[in-house]
Parts: sequence; structure tokens; C-alpha cells
Amino acid sequence: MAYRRSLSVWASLAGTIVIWLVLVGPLITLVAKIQPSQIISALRAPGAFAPLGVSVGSAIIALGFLVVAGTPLGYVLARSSWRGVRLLEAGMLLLLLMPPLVIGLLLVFMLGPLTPLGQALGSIHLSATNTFFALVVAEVYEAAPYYVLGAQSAFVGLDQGMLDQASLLGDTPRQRFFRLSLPLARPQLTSSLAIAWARAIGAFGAVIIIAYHPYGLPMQVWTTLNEVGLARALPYALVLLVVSLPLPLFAYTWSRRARG
Amino acid sequence: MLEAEFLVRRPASRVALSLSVEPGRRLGIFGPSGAGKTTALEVLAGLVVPTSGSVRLEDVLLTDVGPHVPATFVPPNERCIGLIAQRPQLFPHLNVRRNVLYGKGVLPMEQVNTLIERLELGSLLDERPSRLSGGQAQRVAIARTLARVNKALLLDEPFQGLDERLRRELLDLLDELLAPLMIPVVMVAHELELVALFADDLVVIADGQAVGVGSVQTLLREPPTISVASYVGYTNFFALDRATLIGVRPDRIVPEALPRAGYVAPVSIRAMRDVGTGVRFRLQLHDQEVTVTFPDDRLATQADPQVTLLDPPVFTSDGVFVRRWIGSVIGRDGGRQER
Repeated sequence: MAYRRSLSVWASLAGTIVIWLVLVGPLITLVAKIQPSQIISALRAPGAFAPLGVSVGSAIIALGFLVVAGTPLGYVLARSSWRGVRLLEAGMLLLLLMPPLVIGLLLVFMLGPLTPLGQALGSIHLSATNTFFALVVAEVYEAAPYYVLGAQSAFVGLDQGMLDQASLLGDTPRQRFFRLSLPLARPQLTSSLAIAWARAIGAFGAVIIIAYHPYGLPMQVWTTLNEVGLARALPYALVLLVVSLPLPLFAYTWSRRARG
Repeated sequence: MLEAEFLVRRPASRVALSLSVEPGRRLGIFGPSGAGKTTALEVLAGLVVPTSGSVRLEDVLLTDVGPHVPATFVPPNERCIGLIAQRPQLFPHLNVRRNVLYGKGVLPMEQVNTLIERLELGSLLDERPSRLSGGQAQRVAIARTLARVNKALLLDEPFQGLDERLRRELLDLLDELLAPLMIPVVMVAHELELVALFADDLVVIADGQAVGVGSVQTLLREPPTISVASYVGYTNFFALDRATLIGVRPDRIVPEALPRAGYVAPVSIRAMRDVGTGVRFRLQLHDQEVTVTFPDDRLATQADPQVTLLDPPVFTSDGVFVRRWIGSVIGRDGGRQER
């Protein structure tokens, strides 16, 4: 009996490892394929760090915008009793389900230079096509649903009794948001932010349509692959991974610790 | 004075109540789970807007809602009404000190320190709520609510889940802390003993409406109907004759014949079991089976066991309270005559 149980435990463990290896196979391949010399030579090329700066800079601005605008939106989606709020939620879900390439196409129709919004942007010397601003816009649209729906889920999980208690102790709704809701939701908000960061820095579908230039890391990988070949594109892919992973890993560890 | 009359209509429930509490008095709202007790407190606190009705505190209209009334609604943060809830609901990201001092209208530090000392929280001020025991957390919740100016206080089954000794201890403490405040207090509970120990007046509610209103002693001793009696601890009702029923409350039975103290009845013992704190008997009393715990097994040693129901309520066959059975004496002809 004990022999059978131990056999079954080993079989489960082996199965789990095989599935894990299959799923993280691409990552293992990347690390196995690439030589340190390739990375050094790729990064020594003139202008090699420019895409890195563009990607990190645009993702930071996109995330800053999402934190400021997406957090209150997530709160409203979670806690408003207004019926129309379900429509707002449906809009966010559609954005999540839409292929990024389609988002890019629709952004052209919405923010292209000949559209009213495009002209309004033009009047303040901004353009939403092939500019750094366009890259930020594309990243915001690709990452927004991940952050907003994550924030919604964080605020939904708050203890209503605790929020009521804060009101009875004299907090206005605004004070309650900053003093209680936000600190309590912070671990999950950080996780959502980390996912949004990974989406923003790796944004490609919408970017290739409205922000081909300036090159961020995903565009650099794509053009290098097309123009030079797979071997030269791999170092950029590794850099992209190195840049996009620390925040999610830190957030995951921190939020697990915060939740006990 | 806290006065309220309101209706809350929801898809699956309806709560309609009218209550008034003088400053310094304590009202208990008692009833089974789901009767609408917590909803009543939420309306008073301003956490729920009623379908119609009003709430008034110290002659200030806090809520006034109805089809022909322009809505008045003072939000909870402006009502100065404190609530001690079932769970302590301490803010987990703040230490005990910051929990107690949270919000507005906090009393001067000198008074807060006295309260902290009285609740024995001095050594816990820098602790996070996650490190506190259930009793300590509830003490912090009490301190947090009482550390500010309250015009009324609401208690929503405040000691649920704590053991009996701790519950008694906290109730005594709360009793002592509330005495000088002279504010209306409303306590909701589904344990009769807790309400009886704490409240002056009682509203018994069932299915969202008051079925009995009065002082605690009156409602316990003279419940207006059999239905109310069944909520306040009367477990059995046996027919004395065709027109009269007598209510049986197990904690109002003594294991001996005391004709001048109440109704004496012969019983037969169906089962008995020592439960440590006493002996539990299953008795046949007329046509009813009653379970009752006595301090010892004296009843079992009697040749013809008899018990006395201490001044039990007497009801008509329609279930309406008539009077209490004060006592009975054995008449010259051997028959029983009520005093």
C-alpha cells in the first residue's frame, strides 16, 4: 500500500516537472542559446541602449498615468452602486479581449492626424503617430485593462464592515479612500501594476501600427530579426526580459509577504 | 433621545420598526438570525438608507425619506454615532495606538489614556491587530469607539465568538464605561441572556417587525403572546384546561414543590445525565417533554418527583397573556386553588 502511494507521489511529481519544463521551454531555450559574447557585442553596437531607454521611459510614463487615472476608475468599478458601472466594466473587458493589433488600428482612427482628436493634439504640438507620445499611448491602451481590472478586484475584496467603521469614526469618502482603501488594497494593486508593467514594456501589436518609431525594445527585436537574423535579435530579447521581469517578481514576493 | 420609525424593503426581506431610546437608557433588540436586527442598526448609523421613515437624534433629523418627504440624509461620518460590531474590524495596517486615535472627534489625550488604562491596552499600543487575541482585539474596538464624542452608541452582537467568561468580563467593563456617558445605547443580540444582563428595555423582532416591546423584566416574565414567549426562552406550553395554557421556561423551574412560589407539577424522569456543571434531566411534565439542568440529582431521589414552575405566565387558548401564576395552595378538599 505504502509502495503504491510512494509510486503515485513520484509519478505526480514527474508529471508536474514535465509540464513545467514544457511551459517554460522558450525561456530555457533563450538562456541556453545565447552566448555572453553575443550580448556584449549587441549592446556595444552604436545606439544599442536607445531602445532600452525608450522602452523604460515610455513604460514608466504609461504606468504613472495608469496609477493616477486607473486606480480611481478601478475603485468606482468595484464600489459604485450606480447601474451604469457595469457598462464601464464591459468596456474594460472588451479592451482586454481585443487583439493589440486591432487596438492599434482603432487608435489610428481615433487619434490619427486627420481626426478631430488628432487635430486637437496637434494644436498642443502632440502627435499620436510615430512619436514617443504615440508609444506611450499604445502602451497605456495595451496595459490599462490589466491594471484597472486588477485594481477593481483589489477594491472589491475590501471588508465592507471595516469601511463602514471608518465612516462612523468620521472619515469622509475621500479620507476613507486614502487612509483605508488604498493602503489595504496596496498588495494587490502592486501585483496589478507589475502585470501592467510587463504588458506595457512588451507592447507590440498596437505599437507597430501607431508608434513604429522611435524604436522600443520589442520593435528593436522585430526589426533586428527581420533585417539581420535570429541570432542578433536574441540579445535584445534577453534585455527585454531582464528589464520587464524584476518589478513583477518583486511585486509578487512583496504582495505574498504582505498577505501573510 | 434617539427616535426612529422606518421601513426597509428589499427583494427578499422587509424590516419595519419603530423605536425610541432616552439618554442613559439601553434598548436591546432581540430576535432570531435574519429577523432584521442588524438592518435596524445600519439604518440608525446611516449605513443603509431606508425605503421610508425617519431617524432623529437629540431633535436633529438624521434621516427622513418617503414618497412625499424631501429626502434628508446625514452621512454616517457626520452622525457622531459609535458602533461596536460583531468582529472588532480593526484596521490591519495600523498599530493599536493609531487604531484607537483614528478619525475625528477624538477625546483629549488625557481621557483617551484613562480609557486605554481601564481597558488594559497600555502594553499593546505598538502591536499590529494581527498579533492580538480575540478578547484583546475587541477591547481595542471598544476603546476606538469610546475614545471619541458619541451622541449614541450601537452594539451589534459585540462579543460574538468570545468565550463565556470573557464575554461577561467585557460586558461588565462596557457597563461601567457607559454609565457616566448618559447617551442612548442600542444593543442587538440573539442571545437572550446577554440582552437581559445589559438592556433596560427590549424590542423582540421576528420577520422584520416588532412582536413585543417593553422592559426586559416585563417581557421575560409577562410576554404579551405565546409567540413572543417562544422567542424569550419559553420552550413548552401545556394546557391547564381547555381555555388556559401555561408557559415553561427551563431556567424558571426548581426541583422541589414550592406551592407558594408558583405552579407545582408532578413529573416523571425520562432521562438524566451529569454534564459537569449540573445534572440534565429530560422530564415528562403533563403532556410535554422538557429538558432542564439542575445543580444536583436531588429530583431523582424523590419518590414522587415534583417541580415548581416559578410564577409562570398564563395564556388564553388564543395565545394571549392573561396573568402570572403567583402561587397555589392545596385547598381543604385536597384540590389546588390559585392564590
